[in-house]
Amino acid sequence: MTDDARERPERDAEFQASAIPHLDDVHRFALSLTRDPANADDVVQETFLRAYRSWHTFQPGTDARKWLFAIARNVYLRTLEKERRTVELKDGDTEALDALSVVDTSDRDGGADRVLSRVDLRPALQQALTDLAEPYKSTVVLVDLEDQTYDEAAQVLGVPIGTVRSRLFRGRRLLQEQLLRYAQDAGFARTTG
Amino acid sequence: MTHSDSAHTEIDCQAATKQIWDFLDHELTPERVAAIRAHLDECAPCFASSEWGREFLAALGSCREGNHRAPPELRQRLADALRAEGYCGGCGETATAD
Repeated sequence: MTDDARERPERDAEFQASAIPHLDDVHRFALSLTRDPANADDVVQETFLRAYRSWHTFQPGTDARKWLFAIARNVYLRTLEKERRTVELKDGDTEALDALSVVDTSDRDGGADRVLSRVDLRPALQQALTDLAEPYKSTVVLVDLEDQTYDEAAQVLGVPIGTVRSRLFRGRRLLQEQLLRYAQDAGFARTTG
Repeated sequence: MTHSDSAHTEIDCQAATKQIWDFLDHELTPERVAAIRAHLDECAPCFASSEWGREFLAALGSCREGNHRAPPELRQRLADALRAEGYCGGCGETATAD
């Protein structure tokens, strides 16, 4: 019996105990990124296959969920390469840091500040998330949908916290811009300009 | 830019605005949280902006599916794919996965 054959049952038991329990979370994450059930299934399968093949590198006691998220995100980005849906980004872009939102909350007559409470934005937000380009989407999904801290998101994305911060703020701004267009089209907010 | 003239506000509107997402994301130190809160208490425009941000994040968070479960078909498909790699465990693809 080879060393690999002797070690495999133990390795498989570890994989089943440490990786498989995160299948639901990884699937939800993949769905949030792809917005497409079939594509999400493909991402999940490839993620776990890669994790299994590299399981010998996994350090017991470290966060398998975070590692799986990182793999899933990389698998997802590969699928995007064909579609070229990423955008050029200068890390450290602080444009969005200077403004919380695209909405003038002092514009009471325009009613833009009431959009969130007056309109069911879930369909619009779902669409805005679908349309959101990388690398903003991964960052927004990790922090705003998966409740990861900036530090945790930085580990998954493999970037400094400052980059997470700037991508997150830019991504949120892009979402808000799309929501505002939606609200204006629906007649819930005044068109400016 | 200053919305409030209060001499008691420790940070101005620009500083508050730059940190408001960190504030809403609970990424600030207790001291910075206290400073932002003090500013928001005294500055209605910044308070309105922070409330917009809070509502926006809540709306965004509502897009998350609670108690999500990967579909059984995916579990079975994944189990088959892993077993083709030599994996001898399961993926919760049976009814006992609950």
